[in-house]
Amino acid sequence: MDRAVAVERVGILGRLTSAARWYGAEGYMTMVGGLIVFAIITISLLSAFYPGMAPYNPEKSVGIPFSSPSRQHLMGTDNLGRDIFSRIIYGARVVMAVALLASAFSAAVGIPLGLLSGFLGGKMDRVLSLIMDSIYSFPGLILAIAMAAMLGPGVINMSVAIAVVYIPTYFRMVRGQVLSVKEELYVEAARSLGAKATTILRLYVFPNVIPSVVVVFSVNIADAILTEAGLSFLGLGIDPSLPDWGYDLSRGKAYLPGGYWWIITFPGMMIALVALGFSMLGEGLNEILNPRLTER
Amino acid sequence: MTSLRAYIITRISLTIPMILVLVTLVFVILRIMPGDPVRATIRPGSAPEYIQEIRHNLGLDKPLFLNFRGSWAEALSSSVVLRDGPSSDEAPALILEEGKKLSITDRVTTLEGDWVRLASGRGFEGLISPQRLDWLRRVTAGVKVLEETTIDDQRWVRVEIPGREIEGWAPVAELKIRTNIFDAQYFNYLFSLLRLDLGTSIAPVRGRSVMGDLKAKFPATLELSIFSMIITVLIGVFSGAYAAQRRRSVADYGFRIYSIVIYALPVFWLGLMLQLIFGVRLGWLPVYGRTGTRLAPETISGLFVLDSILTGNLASLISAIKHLILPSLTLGLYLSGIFTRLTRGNMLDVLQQDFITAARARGLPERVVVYKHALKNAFIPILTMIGLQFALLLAGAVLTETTFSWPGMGRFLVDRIAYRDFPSIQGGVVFFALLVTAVSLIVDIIYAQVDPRIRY
Repeated sequence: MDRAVAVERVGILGRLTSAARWYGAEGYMTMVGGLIVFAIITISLLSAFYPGMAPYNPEKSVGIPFSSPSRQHLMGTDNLGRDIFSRIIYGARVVMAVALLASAFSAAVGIPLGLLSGFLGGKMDRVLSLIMDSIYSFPGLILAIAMAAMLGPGVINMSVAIAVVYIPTYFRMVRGQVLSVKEELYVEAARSLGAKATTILRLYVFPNVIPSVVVVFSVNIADAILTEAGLSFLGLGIDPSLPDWGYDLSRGKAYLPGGYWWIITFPGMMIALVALGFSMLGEGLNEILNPRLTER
Repeated sequence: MTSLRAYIITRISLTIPMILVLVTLVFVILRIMPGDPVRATIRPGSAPEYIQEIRHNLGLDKPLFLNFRGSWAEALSSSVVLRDGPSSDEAPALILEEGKKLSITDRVTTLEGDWVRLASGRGFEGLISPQRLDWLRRVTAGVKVLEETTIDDQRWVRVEIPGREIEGWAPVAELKIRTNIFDAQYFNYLFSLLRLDLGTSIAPVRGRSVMGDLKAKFPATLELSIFSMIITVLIGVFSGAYAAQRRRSVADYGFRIYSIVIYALPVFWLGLMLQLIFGVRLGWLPVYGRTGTRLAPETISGLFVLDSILTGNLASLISAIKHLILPSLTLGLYLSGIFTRLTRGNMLDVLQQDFITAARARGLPERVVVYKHALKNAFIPILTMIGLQFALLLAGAVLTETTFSWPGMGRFLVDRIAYRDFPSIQGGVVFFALLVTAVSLIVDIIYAQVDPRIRY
C-alpha cells in the first residue's frame, strides 16, 4: 500500500522516471518501450529535416544489386541496388506518420462518442454501442483492406482506413469508464450542486478517462503499425517508390528462393521492434497509471 | 433446459441486428465512400457506353437507398422514340413499343422537362436506328437483322441481340412510370444476400459467381485455420498454465515476454522467416501451395488432409501435411501469445480458489492439481477465447495465405483487390463478416450449454 502512496507524491513525470525502480519488471518494460519509441520518433523527425542522416539516397541505385551486408552497405542492397539501411531509416517516417495519424483519427472520433454515449445513455447509446460492437467484432485487417482498396494509395487514405478499425477500441474503453465514473459520489455531489452536464463531463468525467486513453493510444499505435505493414505488404499502401517497410518486404518475398535473406530480414525486424516498443510502453504504463487494475 | 432455449433465442435475435450493421458497413465502404469501383476496373479510354453497361449490370445505376425516380416504364401511346441523350435534338436510338416494360436507369430534369434513361434488359428484340446498329456491330457479335422499315421518314432496323442491353432516353410525359421505392442499391444488396447471392465478378474473368469462388476457396482456409488453432491451443494453453504455476519465476517472465514479442511480430514476416530457414536454407519443407504437383487428392470435403485419408492416398497425405506445416505454424505461433496470456490469467484465478487449496491439502501432487484440477476449470473460458480470437485468426489467415501462396479465401480477396474486382471484394468481406458472426454465435451457445450460469 505504501508503494501507491509514494507514487502519488512524485507526480506524473516522477512516476515515469522512477517507474523502473518502483515497479520492477513492469517498470523496466515501460522504460525499454519508451526508449524504443523515443528513438524511432527521433529517427523519423531527423530524417524529415536532415536528409544527410542516411548514408545514401534511399530511392536511388547506389550499389551492386543483391550485395550482402558489408561495411559499405550495412544491411546490404536490394534488387535495384538501393541501400537497405537508408531505406529503413527513411521508411520509419511513413510508418510513424500513418500509425500516429490513424491513432489520432480514431481517438478523435472514438473518445467524444464514447463520452457522450456513456454519459447520456438512452437510445443513442444503444445504437452507437451496437455499431461499435459490430465493427469491433469484425477482423480489423479485412475491414482496413476493403477501405484501403476503395480509397486508393496515400498516407492520409491509409490512415483513415486503419483509423476506422480502431474507433471502437476507444469508444468501448471510454464508455465503460464513463459509466463507472458516473456513479461516483463526487459526480453526484457536483450534480446536486447544480453543475451543468458539460461541466461534469469536462471537470469530473474526462480527467478520469485520460490515463486509460494514454494506455490505449500507445497499444493502438503498435496495432496500427502492424496493420499498416500488413496493408503495404498486400500492395495497398503508399506510392511504391517511397521507402516503406511493409512494401519492401513484399518485394523482397520474390527474391526469397535466391536466399537473399537481408532484403526481408531487416524491414520485418524494424516493424517488429517498433510495434514491440509501443506495446511494451502501453502495457507498462497500464500497470503504472492504473494501479487499481494491477496485473494479478 | 427452457432457460437455455431462451438464451439461444435471445442470442440469435441479437445477432441479426449485428449482421445488419456489418453488411451495411460493407455497403457504405464499398458504395458510398469516394472511389468508383467500375472506373477503377476498366482500362482508361474505354467507351463510356461500356462503363455504363457494367454499372448497369451491377445495379450501380440505381439510387443508393430509396428509389423515387421510378423503376419501370411503359409507353403511354403506341410507341415512344428513345434518343441518345435527354433532349429532343438528340438522334433517335430505338423505339419502345407498346406493352413492353423497360427499367429506368437514370432521370434528369432539363429545360424540356423530366427525362428518363431506359434499359432493355439482357437480350433485345425490336427497332433500332441504323447509327445505333453500326455502333452495336462494332462492340458486339451476334447482332441479327430481321427487317428494315421506315416510320415518319426515319429508317429503323428490327434486330435481335442476345445478351446485350440497349439504352435510350425518353421524356417522362410520354411514359407510364411505376415506382418501387425499395428498388435501390441497398435493398437489392440485402435481398440478394438473403438469397445467398453475392453477385458475379467483373475481372479477371467476367461473370463468375462470387459465391461459387468463395465456396471453392473456403476449405483451404478452413484447413489452415484448424491446424493453426491446434498449434495455438497446444502452445498457448500449456505455456500459460506453466507460467501461472511458477508465477514470478524466470519461466513466467520468459513466457510473458514471449507473448508480447510474438504478438508484435508481423505475421507475414514470421512466415517469410520460417520459409527462409526451413524452406530455402534447410530445404526441409515446401514454401508455396497446398500440395505438390499432381498430388492433390480427390475432392470430397476440400480439406486435403481429410480427403487423402478418406481416399487412402498416402503420397498426397504426406505432401499435404508437409505443405501445411509452415503456414499453420506461422499462424499458430502468431495467435499463441494471446492464449498464453489469457490462460495464465485464468489459471491464476483458478489456482487461488478453495478447491485447489483443498486438493493440495489432500496431498495430491502439484502436477495433478495444476494440470488436472485447475486447467480443466480454466479451460471453459479458453473455449470462448477461441471464438473471440477467430476474427484475428481470419485476419492473420489473409496475410499468411498471401505469404505462402495458399489458395484460400484471404488470398482470393487480395488477388481480386489487385484486379479491382469489386463484387468479389464485397462478397469476400461479407462472407468473412458472416463467418465471424456465426462462429461467435456457436461458441456462445456451446459456452452456455457447458456453463449454466450464463443466461440472460
